[in-house]
Amino acid sequence: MISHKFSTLIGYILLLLFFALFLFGDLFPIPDILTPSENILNVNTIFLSIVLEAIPFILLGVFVSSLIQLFVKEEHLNRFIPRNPILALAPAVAIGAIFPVCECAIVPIVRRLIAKGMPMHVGMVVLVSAPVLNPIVYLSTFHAFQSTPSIAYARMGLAFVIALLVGLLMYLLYERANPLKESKIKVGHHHHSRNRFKEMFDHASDEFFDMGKFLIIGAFLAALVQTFMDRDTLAAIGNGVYTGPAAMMGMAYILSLCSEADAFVASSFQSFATPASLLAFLVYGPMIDLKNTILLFAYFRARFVASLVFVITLTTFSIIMIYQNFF
Amino acid sequence: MKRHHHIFIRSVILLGFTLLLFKLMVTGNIYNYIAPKMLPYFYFALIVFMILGGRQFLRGDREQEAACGCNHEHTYSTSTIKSLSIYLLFIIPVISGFLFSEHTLGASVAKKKGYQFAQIEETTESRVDNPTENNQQEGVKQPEVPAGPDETSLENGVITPKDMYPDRYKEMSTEEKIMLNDDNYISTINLLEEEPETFAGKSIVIRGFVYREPNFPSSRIVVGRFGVSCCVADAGIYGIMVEGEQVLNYNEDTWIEVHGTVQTAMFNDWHLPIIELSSIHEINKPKQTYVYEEIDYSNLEQ
Repeated sequence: MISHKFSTLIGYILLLLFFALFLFGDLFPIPDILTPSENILNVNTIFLSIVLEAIPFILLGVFVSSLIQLFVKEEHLNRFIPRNPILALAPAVAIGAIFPVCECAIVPIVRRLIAKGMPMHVGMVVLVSAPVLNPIVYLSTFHAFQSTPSIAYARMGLAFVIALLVGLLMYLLYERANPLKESKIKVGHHHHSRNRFKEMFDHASDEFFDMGKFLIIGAFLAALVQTFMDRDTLAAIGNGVYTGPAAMMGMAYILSLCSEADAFVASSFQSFATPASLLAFLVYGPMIDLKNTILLFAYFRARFVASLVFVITLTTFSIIMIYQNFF
Repeated sequence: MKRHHHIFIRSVILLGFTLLLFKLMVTGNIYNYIAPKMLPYFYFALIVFMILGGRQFLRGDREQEAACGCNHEHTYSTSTIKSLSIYLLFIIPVISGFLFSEHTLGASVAKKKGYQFAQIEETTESRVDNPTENNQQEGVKQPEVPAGPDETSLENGVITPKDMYPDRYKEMSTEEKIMLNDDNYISTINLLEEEPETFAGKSIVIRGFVYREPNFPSSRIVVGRFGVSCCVADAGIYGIMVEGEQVLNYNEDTWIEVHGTVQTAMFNDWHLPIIELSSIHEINKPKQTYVYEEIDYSNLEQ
């Protein structure tokens, strides 16, 4: 009982604190008293910028996921997706290419689709292709590499091939195993008595909190690495045929940039990176990065996430190597 | 911790995010985290937080219906300590957002990100093995590279700022004095770096913060600003080197205005712009410290 009162009390204290900070935050001399070091402030700023930037897209993803939960029936999905597991990859890439969703928003959507009966490997194709195979990303890449449109074409082409391969490999590895945590999702239960909109908002809020904690941890780790890691160290090893793309993939993983912005960052690497390394950065980052790996842990089994990261890494690296040899 | 406690604390946290976003947007400090073009998404997020928070608040109050019997997949943890530490994760960004939103990145981050030319100077010896790195230079013997710098860049996949900012290029070529402001900062610096010879001898006025590379002589600094395309995590430094005895007195992260003349300098075969100082003075840190990359889709057709 004491803990119940305690929880309520905490809630009210928080409420008061937030209002106080909102109204008088500038008057609190806390930054002057604490005087955190420059580095801590930098971590905080980068951390907040990643969290803030992701929030609208997480909310969007959470809403779409709630809509799917309430309005899409399993029969709909089954009608769309061919029984043959290989043929099923085709509509997956199409869905990925149509959804202009970034990598944060796609996670709850894919999880929901899988819970609704989409085969796992098809879901994985959507997961990796949607953030990179989309019109907004194409335009921003085209702009950032304006004088070499081949980078933008190659980015889309490679992403297409890699996404299909990832789906295929995941199918071979897991077949139809359920990758979701504890299979705690009960599908197909609908409430008839309650207002669907209210329900949608409740779903969305629950999901925001389920996912938010992973986003926050992921953003914090990414901010930490960004603040303390010297980019020159990575750039220095970024010259070789193998080490170049590998270093760039490492960079893409750690930086955890939004797929709309990463082309601009990549264009600043042009002075020391080969086109193949740049493509490695541009294709790998949206498919998987540090922040996203941690987001995936929210819904998927740990071993599954680990093998997914491994498969994406291996596939991307091999395809980039092949590309490098032929173009 | 019971279900309605969870819902109550969640509604408070959602309200906290609503207030934080609202305050950041009103004070303009949101631009210390994200680029202006992202703003519409934040109007959306603000409204969603408001609705979700309000809805949770009412839900906690009225609907303690365990009768529904379906906690969906969302099981609420019963351990108070565990739940509160998870909520702490959400509370920290709200509080630090309220308290430290004035902070902006400066010289220490610039060092980590690396001013591109510092790197070039250090890696001179290794440059010969690396074909792409040589592309931008003239006079380096390389079979497949044709003469002029423009074709070189086009052929080998390096951006030519001249194609990207044709209007600014024309402006800078005709004007006697190159003035940098929030809107033309990125384009001007890109153009200067691309063709320092074209603009050599023109006078220039530039504002930014002071930043030194470890291998710089003491009379040289970089004056620059961070350019942001989506959020501060993708910020990169845009700056020009300045040389003159007067720079000795200025510490890193001091905001300055520099008047001088554009010169070209050779650093290990690289032509780089460098400002020969005529006057320098300290200025207040501007309200908006970053400059933002704007996509001009109309140039895409070229």
